[in-house]
Amino acid sequence: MSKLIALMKKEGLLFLRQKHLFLSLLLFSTLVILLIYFGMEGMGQRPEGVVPSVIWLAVVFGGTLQLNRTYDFERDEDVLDGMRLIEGISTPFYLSKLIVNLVMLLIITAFSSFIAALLFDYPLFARLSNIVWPLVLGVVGMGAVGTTFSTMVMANHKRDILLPTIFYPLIAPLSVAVIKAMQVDSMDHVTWLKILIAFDVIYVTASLLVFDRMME
Amino acid sequence: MKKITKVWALVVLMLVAVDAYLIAFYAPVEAAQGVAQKIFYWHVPSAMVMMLFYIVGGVAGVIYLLKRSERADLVAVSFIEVGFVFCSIVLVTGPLWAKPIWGAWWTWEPRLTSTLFVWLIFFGYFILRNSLEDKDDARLYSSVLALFGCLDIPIIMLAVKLWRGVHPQVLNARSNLPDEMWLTLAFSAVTVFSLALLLIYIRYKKGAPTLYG
Repeated sequence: MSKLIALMKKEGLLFLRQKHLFLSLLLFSTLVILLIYFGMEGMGQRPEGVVPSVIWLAVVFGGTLQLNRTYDFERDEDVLDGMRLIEGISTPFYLSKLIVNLVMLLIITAFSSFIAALLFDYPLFARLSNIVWPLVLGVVGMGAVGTTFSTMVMANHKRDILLPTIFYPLIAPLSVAVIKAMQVDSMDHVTWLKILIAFDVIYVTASLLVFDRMME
Repeated sequence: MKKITKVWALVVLMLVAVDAYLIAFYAPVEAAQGVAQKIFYWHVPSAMVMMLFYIVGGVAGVIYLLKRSERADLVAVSFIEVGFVFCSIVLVTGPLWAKPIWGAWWTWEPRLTSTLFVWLIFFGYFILRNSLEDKDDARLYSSVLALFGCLDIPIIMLAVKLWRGVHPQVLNARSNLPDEMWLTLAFSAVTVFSLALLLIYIRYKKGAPTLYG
């Protein structure tokens, strides 16, 4: 636990040093929503049916940039090799990265929800009970897989292409579940939430188990 | 090519020839779907091979993660490569059937969509493996991806049920199939599995991956 707290402090400091990059992520998510809005102009879609999907797309695209940056600091100066020498570090290390990514992704989610509601005239607060849990559970699954897979590509010069290529197909089923659970007229809202919980449990458990092996 | 491979290939070739005859002349033409239904004799066994091989590949990947055995990695690669071939067959034969029956090459039907997800996940497996210069990293990370891909499969199947698609349930329709159709399907399954196992054998014997580093 003390290792996790120490690593969280380090992540907090790193975030404060690079908070301008985080603002870029929020701007990027806003641009995604704007582009979707102009792409859909004239299609006459009801906001209730479209906005949850738009929010999730903004989270996925903006979140991918964040996930790709997960190990930016560890990549330089062989920090990861130094970390490997510390006994029992892999689980706290993974958890610290996961927690930071989840916080970032949740901020992107909240911000994107607000922007999408504003641009699409969507009754966000009236629909909050429908969209909060699917988004939160979706972010947990996405964060767990993304944190693990960004480890694989961190030292690769093609990581900007590589991470989405291997990461999007894995979260595609999760994305379907998130969007289905958020639909206003979904009769199976609770069942889709249960599927999302199953995704999260499997992804987080598998990530914790394999990260130890990946750090060896 | 070794003698056993040649004999096995000859047996598979004969099975394919007999199977082609059974599909073309022995199995009756389905009243509602016409000749297009005959695609199912290879489509269904290919889907079974795909699922089974991906799961075996995933398990072999886990064994590699636990023991770092190169043999386990080779088994994983072999099963995933051949599974990918049969997944591609499923994705090609599905639309060939769908066009005359549903009127479109592709519909976002849950089972089609989920098969496409699985195909994309394991396509990523090859891309990841090809992108990593260090052989040990390639083995390690692709095993992790195979594990995640296999863990996705049961949840995708559950989601497909919930999604309520219109995909035909061939194996559940056992009682509705005439004996000729059932026999042809069973023979096709034996043929496809024999072909798949032959491909696994050839791929495994080929040793270390040559297609992608």
